[in-house]
Amino acid sequence: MSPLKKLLRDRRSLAGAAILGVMALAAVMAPVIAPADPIAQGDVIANRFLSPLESGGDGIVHWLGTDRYGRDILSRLIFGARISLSVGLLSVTVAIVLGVAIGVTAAAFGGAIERALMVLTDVFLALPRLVLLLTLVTIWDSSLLLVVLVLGFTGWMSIARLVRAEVRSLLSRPFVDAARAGGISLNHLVWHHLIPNSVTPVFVAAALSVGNAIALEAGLSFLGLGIPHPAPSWGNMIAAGRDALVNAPWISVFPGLCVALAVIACNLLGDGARDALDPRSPTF
Amino acid sequence: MDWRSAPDAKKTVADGSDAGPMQAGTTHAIPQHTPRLSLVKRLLFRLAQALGLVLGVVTLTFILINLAPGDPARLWVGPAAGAEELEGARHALGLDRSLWVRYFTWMIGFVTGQWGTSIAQQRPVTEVLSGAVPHTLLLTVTSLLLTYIIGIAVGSIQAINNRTRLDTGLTVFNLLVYGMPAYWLAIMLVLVFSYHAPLHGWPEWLRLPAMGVSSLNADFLGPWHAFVDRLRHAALPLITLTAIGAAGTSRFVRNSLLDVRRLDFVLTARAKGMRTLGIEIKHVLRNGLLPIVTLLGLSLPALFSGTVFVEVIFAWPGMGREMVAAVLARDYPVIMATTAIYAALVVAGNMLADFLYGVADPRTRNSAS
Repeated sequence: MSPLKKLLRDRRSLAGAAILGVMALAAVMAPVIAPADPIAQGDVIANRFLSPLESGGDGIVHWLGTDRYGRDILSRLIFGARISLSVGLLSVTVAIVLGVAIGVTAAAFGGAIERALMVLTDVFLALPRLVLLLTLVTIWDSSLLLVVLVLGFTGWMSIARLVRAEVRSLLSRPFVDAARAGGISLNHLVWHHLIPNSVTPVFVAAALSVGNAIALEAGLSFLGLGIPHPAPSWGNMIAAGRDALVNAPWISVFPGLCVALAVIACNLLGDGARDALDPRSPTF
Repeated sequence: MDWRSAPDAKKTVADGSDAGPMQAGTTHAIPQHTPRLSLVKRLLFRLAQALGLVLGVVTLTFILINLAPGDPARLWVGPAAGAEELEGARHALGLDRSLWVRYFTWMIGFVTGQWGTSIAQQRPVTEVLSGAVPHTLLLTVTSLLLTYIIGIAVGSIQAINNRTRLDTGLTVFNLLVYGMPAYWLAIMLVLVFSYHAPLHGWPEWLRLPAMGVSSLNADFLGPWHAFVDRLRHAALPLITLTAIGAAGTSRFVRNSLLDVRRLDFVLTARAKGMRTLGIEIKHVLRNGLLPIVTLLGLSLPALFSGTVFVEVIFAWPGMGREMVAAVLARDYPVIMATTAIYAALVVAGNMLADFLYGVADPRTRNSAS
């Protein structure tokens, strides 16, 4: 059975993929499906702090209520998904590129290069990620690109370690010896044999880190250091609801549920993928 | 390590240089002597490695901070200051020297305990942090203990009741809690236990405070009441950190125990007619809990991230709160110091995990890592 079929047979990964798929679809179609403008403030007095399912002065039903400026929570959540998902995916892409490059280089060259790269990996692993993130985001004015880059540059280590281990074991396999004996170049060996064969653990690690990145981005925005207002991000929505927690808990509750749901979906996808694609590996 | 050093040791013993005549030439004296030597060597090596890692982290942070745009001196003197004043501030902060000079000056100061003065608070950094570190350690160590106790208990219950409704229910619950961001769970707990509990007339012990480490009148309480007051203030931060940690740990414990259960030696024990409970405790738990030791090292960074949010939300006067304040104020000396402390704690945690793993699993004790 092909890996993709196996993956699609696993109920957990299907559930995870479905949740992420719906979120991604909502993010892409945001301008079409969002019932209201996520940023514009209409009649603030008539629309603010409406509880879920209430309709405002403009006659629009606010399924998940409104915030202190009368903005529709559901619309903000849908537009917020754009930021959360793109930060998650893009930062993990950066992490994968870095991790695969460093892991393959280390394993393929060995010797001093390998040792130096592994020391670098250990240093980055000991780096308190959140501390670095907070520091960098403050000193280099926060932007989407910076958050993506910082998350990517602090998230490649586990992938590099996995790839290095995988490539090292591949290097001792007969097919690699055969390819080498056939006289192929190192370049060809790396791109056509080593990288394609070490994809599985990378996919699993990547699925888990997307969830992590989404939660961290929301955390930064929660502390007021991520995506600046008034653009909606799940994190800054949770933070904005803190002041009105008693009277309008829905402002914080729903974006938090979205973050949790995204993280859970990534975990389901990652867990399912590991069991489906690589039954030998220990379950985490 | 051991198998390579053993023959040399044998020679020493055979020469009779440091062993009594009774033991000369016998082999059973060898393992008593050499592993200890190599253990000390290995410990020293690991310690040097750990110090190197912390220095690496600090260096990296220093470079990143100093490459950033913006002039800390300008922030220090304010926008109204003239060129002369700015130059004075640059000189006072040492910014007129080259990056290398600044790096080595800072590093020497850091190693000798001169951590500089906080720009925002105008107090020595050591003074700022010495008050904060114990609060953070109290929170993290307690929650780590609770995390392991609860996580192992729940995970074991799940593994023993594998594929029952209880197991499925707990698995779903764990996944839900594990997915929650710490800052959101914290706010939700405040909503329930600090706002709703008094509103709906819940019993006194369920009405928990949402801020600080003690009440304003704590100084006037007797020792017992002061203790209870502290405990009540610590409850919500601890629940936040422990719930998420325990959910992750029990997922790990459950899977690890189930993996061990599938192994052949468990089948052998069963074939011998050993009782199920005996197998679970003597064989499955003992081997299945080994990887959890490594989890200690892996879970520390996440725990510290969680602590930063929890300290900010619950106004807990720890290192995380100091650090967020320092970051917002661009208080570089405090940022550098907190980064170094966090890195040191993470590295120390990993070393402890390695050491405990060696203690728990003799098979790995002598493998070179």
